[in-house]
Amino acid sequence: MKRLNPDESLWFLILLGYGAYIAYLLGSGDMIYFINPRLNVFMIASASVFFLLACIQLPRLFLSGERRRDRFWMALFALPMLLGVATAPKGLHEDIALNKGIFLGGATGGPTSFLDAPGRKTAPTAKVGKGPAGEKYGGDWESVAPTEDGVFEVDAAHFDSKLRIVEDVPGAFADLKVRIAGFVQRRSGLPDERFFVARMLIVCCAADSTVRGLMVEWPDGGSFAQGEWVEAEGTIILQEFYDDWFLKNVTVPMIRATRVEAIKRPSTIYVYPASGVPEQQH
Amino acid sequence: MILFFSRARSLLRVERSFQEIPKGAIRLRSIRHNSAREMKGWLFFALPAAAALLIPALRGTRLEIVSGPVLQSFATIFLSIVLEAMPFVMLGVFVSSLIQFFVTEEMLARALPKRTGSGLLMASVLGFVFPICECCSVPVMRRLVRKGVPLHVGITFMMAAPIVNPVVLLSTYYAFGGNVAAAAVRAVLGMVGAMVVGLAATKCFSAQEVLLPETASSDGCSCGCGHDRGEVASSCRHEHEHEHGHAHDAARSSGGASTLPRRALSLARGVLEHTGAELFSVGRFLVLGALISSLAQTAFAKDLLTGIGQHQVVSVVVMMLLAFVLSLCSEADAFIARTFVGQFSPGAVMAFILLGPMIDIKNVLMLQEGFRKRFVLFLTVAAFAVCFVLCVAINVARL
Repeated sequence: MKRLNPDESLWFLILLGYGAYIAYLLGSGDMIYFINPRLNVFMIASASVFFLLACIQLPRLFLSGERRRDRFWMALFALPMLLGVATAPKGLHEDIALNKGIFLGGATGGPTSFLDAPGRKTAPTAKVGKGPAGEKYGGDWESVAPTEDGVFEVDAAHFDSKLRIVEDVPGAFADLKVRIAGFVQRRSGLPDERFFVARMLIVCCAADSTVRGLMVEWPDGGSFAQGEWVEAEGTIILQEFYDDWFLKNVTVPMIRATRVEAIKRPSTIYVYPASGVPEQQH
Repeated sequence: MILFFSRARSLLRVERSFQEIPKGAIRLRSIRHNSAREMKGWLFFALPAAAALLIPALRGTRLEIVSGPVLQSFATIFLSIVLEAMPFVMLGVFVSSLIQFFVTEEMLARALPKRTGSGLLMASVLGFVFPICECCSVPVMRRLVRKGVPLHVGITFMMAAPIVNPVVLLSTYYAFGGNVAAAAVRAVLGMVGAMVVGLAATKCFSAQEVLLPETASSDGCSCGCGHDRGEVASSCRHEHEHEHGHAHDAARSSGGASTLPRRALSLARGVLEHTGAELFSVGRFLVLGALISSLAQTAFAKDLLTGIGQHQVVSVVVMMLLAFVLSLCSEADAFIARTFVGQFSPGAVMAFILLGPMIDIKNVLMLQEGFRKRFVLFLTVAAFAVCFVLCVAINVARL
């Protein structure tokens, strides 16, 4: 009876293991913790290729002779899969957001560069409907930033695109009632009553995540811990801050909250970029 | 972790020394150290495997040793980089295998321009029609250079393709809020930078100087029939069926009583076996790069950079180092770069999206699999130098 070649068998198991692990992540829906769902088709392809390569590896299981692969490198190759099985990660934790930091989201009003988005080149207090900022959004923010019961809701589905509009033309949103849900993100230099309500924006995968959110002012803000999930409602005001990144004052849209309450953490803390402007909701 | 890296280093040394000494000596040496290596090899594999089995079993008990936000985030980032890059690495090694089996040196010699200038230009724009990212471009470039493609063409293609890739340019356009200038400047500087590095490489090195001999586990045939060191790429045209039923270039060599479907099947199996072998040789470095990058992302706080973002020179250096360490996909890096606009000088933000696709930790590690260390170091330094000059120029010109 032929003897199993241990190294070829290990390589076979690694290929099979990767295929099965990716298939499990796709089947269980856990892939969402790692990859933007729009890339799932690549994950399906990846699992299929792993299975195919495992099949091709089958005739080599009984191959005799010198081993061709070093087990250290095979162990390293298998490490992500083994770590995934061992720790079963459920996505990024809110604490990592502290490492990533958060941009104030204001406009400096200073000289712009070729990298600035067209909308950001306008004065931060410009009203929509007047000047180039208004033309960009069709002259009427109600058409692109619809409200429900008079409240502009920064919902998870349009989190990035709605924030982008607010950052582009914050003046247009001054005095508007707004509602946002996310985790509490602290920023150095800000007092306890001022914090961000933020979420993790994923473009391709968790490694490229960025923290996006709006600053909230709430007198009892100190009672919320970093990473705690809250829903905030209030009125947008424009506030000037000294930004230690810019080393100068910036104008930032901020929610002066009338209500902030703790909410349950959703199953995933991620949001994804939506192209263009948010869809009409009514 | 330190153990892992020191082991990786020593293994690279062993592999290189294997390639430099005669075959007979390799056999003697391997026999002498066989049992010790065997034990160590199993140990390295057994430890993570045992941990993978034990950790879930202990979950929820008083003996639970792995929990906490840091590990969750680290594992998520590590896995996400590997999962996202793997299909593109697969595509890269598959294309590399197709080139190995179907493209001859003569075909490439006929297709490529003879002049250096036109070769550079063609290589820099090839990414427009051959959209691949940086994970994919390394194995393709390695195979092309092995097949006799001039070094400057290979290097320029490897560095420019992940930047001028239409998907990357579109994502840049979108990430910067519909800004055509951002995408255009990135494309032009990427092409210029890649051509300069390619030209410098060809002036300083020849392809023979930089290529490592093919190893069994990577470029050559991995069937173990003894003709794997450098023979397959150029001269393995013979038709033979091994015990394991794999035929080298069977279809290409033709003849005999083989029927067309059988030859096609045999060829397909050959391509897939080659793909599997290359996936191992390139993928392990992808994993190592992802490991370093995820450790950096978990440990490194952005606040440490406060106050240096507006410096014309320091900000560029910092962002180049950041791009090198983070090893982000070129299709996603523009979205990260966007978060630095205003906080960092325009040149620094451009440096982040220019250098990353040209060279980063995982590319450097993957390049080590086919090229000599001296050359990989040269490429890294050259890419840094070119990006530095281009991006400081942006700051000086106050674009």
